[in-house]
Amino acid sequence: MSETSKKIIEEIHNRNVTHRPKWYFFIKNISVWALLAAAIFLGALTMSIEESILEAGVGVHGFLSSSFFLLVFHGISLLWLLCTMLFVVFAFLNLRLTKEGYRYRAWWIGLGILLLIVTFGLLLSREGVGDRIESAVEHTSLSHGYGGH
Amino acid sequence: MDVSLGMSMINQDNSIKEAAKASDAADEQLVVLALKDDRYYEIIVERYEPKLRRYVPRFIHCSDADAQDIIQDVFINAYRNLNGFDTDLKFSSWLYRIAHNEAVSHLRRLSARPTIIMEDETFEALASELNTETEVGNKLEGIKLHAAIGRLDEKYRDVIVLRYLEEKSYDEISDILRKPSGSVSSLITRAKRILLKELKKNAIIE
Repeated sequence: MSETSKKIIEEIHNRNVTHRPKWYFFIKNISVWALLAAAIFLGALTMSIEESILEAGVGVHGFLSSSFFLLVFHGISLLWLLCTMLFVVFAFLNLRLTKEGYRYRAWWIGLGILLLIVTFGLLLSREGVGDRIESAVEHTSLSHGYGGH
Repeated sequence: MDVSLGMSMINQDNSIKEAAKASDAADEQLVVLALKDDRYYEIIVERYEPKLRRYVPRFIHCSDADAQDIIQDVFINAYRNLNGFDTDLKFSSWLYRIAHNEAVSHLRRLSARPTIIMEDETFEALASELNTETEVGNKLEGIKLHAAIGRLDEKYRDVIVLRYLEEKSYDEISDILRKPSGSVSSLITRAKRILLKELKKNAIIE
């Protein structure tokens, strides 16, 4: 055995280095996938809320005469869109961290995540999840006196 | 002689023989054995220490002492994370990935720009590779590429060192650098193009 190899082995023993347990890697791996799933789910959720806001907007545009209210309406919808984009980015970064994530081209991963979020978001929207969350948010803001009228 | 002492000596001798046999074993088998018995890890260290001792200074210009420190950290890190070794990968790719990351961390600590140390034979191999791909002819043969490679961006230098000096396949480079194989292939092509341009600019070739 060479001198360097001997030194390395001695250093491992001197520093009392031990193998990290298997569960450490299992939890690390599971956490990455769990965060990825959470990001996709939350992205889909914000997407469904956004979709319900836009749907309601078709009627609202005629109803709201004040440009201020229209500005607020667009602002809210933009905020949800921003949230969706944030979750897309978060999911993308998490997928790159998985064991196999680096093997695929970045834009394929981005496109895949976006498709997943849009599909899942539309499904949630069809189930009325977005409407329910949006009205719950609206109700909360009204009960706190942010509704304006 | 006490019978139990005699038996334990025979057992010890047998396990040393097994360890000796294991020196011909595949890396992945050695990892499994090393998780149970440190002596198998010694075989891994012995097998890869010379390779990494060549790879690290090729990738970053550092003193012998620095290279030894980096290599020591690589093996300590690998030992610590042995349970996390992904059996879908080649062990050498996994170890080179750790070595690459350690070398990059070392560079960042020093904020230094790496330069390449190459032996003439490896240089000539790269020169002939550039020839076949670009039909520049035989003019490159024997020309020192050190400076030109040293001036390359880190991402290009990475792939050139791994492909031509360490003779890794595209898939192995992909696993080491955690990049898609397609990107590795484009990086190598681009790196060679930049290298040729650089050589032409400096009138090393016409």
